[in-house]
Amino acid sequence: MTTLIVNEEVMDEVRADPLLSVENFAVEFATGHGWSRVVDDVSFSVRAGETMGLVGESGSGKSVTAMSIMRLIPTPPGRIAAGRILFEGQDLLALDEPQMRKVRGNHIAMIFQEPLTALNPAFTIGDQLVEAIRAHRKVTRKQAGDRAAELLDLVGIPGARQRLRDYPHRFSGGMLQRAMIAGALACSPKLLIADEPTTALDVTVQAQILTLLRGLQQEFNMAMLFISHDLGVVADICDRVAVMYAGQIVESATVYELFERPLHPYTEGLLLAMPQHGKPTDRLVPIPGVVPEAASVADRCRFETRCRYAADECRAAPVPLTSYGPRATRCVRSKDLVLGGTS
Amino acid sequence: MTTATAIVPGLTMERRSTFWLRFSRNRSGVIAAAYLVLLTAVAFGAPLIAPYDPLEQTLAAINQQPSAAHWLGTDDIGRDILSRMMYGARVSLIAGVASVGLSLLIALPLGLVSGYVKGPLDTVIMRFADAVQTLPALVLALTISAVLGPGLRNATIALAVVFLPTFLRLIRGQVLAVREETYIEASRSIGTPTFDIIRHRVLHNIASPLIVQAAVTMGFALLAEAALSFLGLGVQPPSPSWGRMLSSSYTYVYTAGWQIFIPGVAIALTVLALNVLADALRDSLGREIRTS
Repeated sequence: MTTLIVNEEVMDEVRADPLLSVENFAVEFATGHGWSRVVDDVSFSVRAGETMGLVGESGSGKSVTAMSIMRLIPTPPGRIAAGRILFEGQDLLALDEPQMRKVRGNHIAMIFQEPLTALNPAFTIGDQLVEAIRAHRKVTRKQAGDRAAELLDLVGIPGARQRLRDYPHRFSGGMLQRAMIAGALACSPKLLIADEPTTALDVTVQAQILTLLRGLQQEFNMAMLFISHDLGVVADICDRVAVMYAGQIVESATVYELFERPLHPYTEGLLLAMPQHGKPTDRLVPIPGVVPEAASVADRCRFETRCRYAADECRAAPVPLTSYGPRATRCVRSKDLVLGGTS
Repeated sequence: MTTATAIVPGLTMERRSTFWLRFSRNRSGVIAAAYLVLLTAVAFGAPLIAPYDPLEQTLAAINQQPSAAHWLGTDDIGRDILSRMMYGARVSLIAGVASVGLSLLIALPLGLVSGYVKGPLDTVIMRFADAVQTLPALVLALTISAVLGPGLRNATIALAVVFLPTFLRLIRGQVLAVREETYIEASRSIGTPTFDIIRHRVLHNIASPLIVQAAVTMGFALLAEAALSFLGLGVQPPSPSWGRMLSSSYTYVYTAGWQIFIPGVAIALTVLALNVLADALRDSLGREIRTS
């Protein structure tokens, strides 16, 4: 946990000026019966050099949020219904497509969940790295090739120069993810969006990739938006976390605080459902039920249907995100509840 | 492929060489390719190697059986059949390559844009393809040739139009599948311009089925050209063409029956070769997927 304390200090220095700030952001998708709001009133910020985690179940809207920052959600059927996404003070939603293209890969880069599908099978690794470099830097193929070899070397692939000529199918999953990271770093972005980068990898490779990401982040003073459903991974790499549920952020806090004492019953549920090292557990406690469709719970707390602490006041009105100093939670009962964290 | 790596550890194999490696192991594919190369050489070297002028008539020696002087005999006005076959091969090959080439030239940009951009443009292009496809291929080719007038060039154009919907559909379908792949999203996420994505990242991924389809279609083009010439809409006499030769020998099927087999067998063999080649290409070109 020592790294956390160091990162806290870094955070204080830059707190005044977030690199990325998402404000009251909402995304809707067209369905058979009108617009369905899949991301609603999402606000968070990422500061230079810090790692912000975005956690939630499948369908909680975390990937849509990430794709929206890159303006990569297809419109139609999607549309951005409200909010602003400020990157270095500039509203990304106000940019036109050519301007946005200058941001993608250059200032904000992204790595994906399935490295095998995220690399084009018809091109060599080198070719794809060169594509990433030449998209934003006016360099010759030769120079780009040299840079690609450097990048591959940087992410720890031995014999980088030879491996540039390989096609993706010749790489293992871990190596592919390293190659993806190399491509994302090509133009030294200020922000890296990592959409479940370790989900498709086995545990030992996961640990290696996380170590790599952490090292690179420090080396380049790069901010990271880390999307995951794996709380263990989040605890390992993130400085702060926002928990998403049914399209909304239900709780945000530093990793340490979130794990120590969650303020939202959903967070508590996630923690209880997570196996813990060194703690004998016969059975993990699942959260009953499934994520409801946002429209069906629009008039109340969205987690109410699955919450074991649900009371009348939870059904009365939609719950706003309430701040408690640096933390925030979307629970009306947060003052009376004492929820269990991990030790 | 795994064996190749094992033999030369540390040495990376290019995709191209993997393709040749696999293709060279496919014996029938190699034979078909060799036959087609030979045929092309003969067709274009015909002025040098043909024993006679294909138009020279020797009325004293008509419908002669194969002999040392005329290896494949002579036709109804005493022209050397072997020489005419050699010159005729040129027509068949040109018709095949040009009609498929022309069709691809039109279908490729339209299909790529249609599949990638979708929207109203896609609808317009695909409804056009539907309209063309409602008409039987040969009837359509016949009609177009008849309207444009007989001749090799017009027959080629007619065939190109006939092939258009098939190529459009194939290209669009492939693009629709590829555009949803994460690696296209990844390309967008690093800021690659849309035009480059379509021209490069998408095109390379749909190339394999396209090459195979082109080879198969060439076989069909060859047959269709023969049919058009047979019906008098393709190459005009006295120029030699396989289809033409088929139709003129048809008249003498009872008196000089061997004649009809010569262009017939040549057409059949060439179509077969193109199909076998297409199969071999399909097997060797398959997108590289990791085998565990």
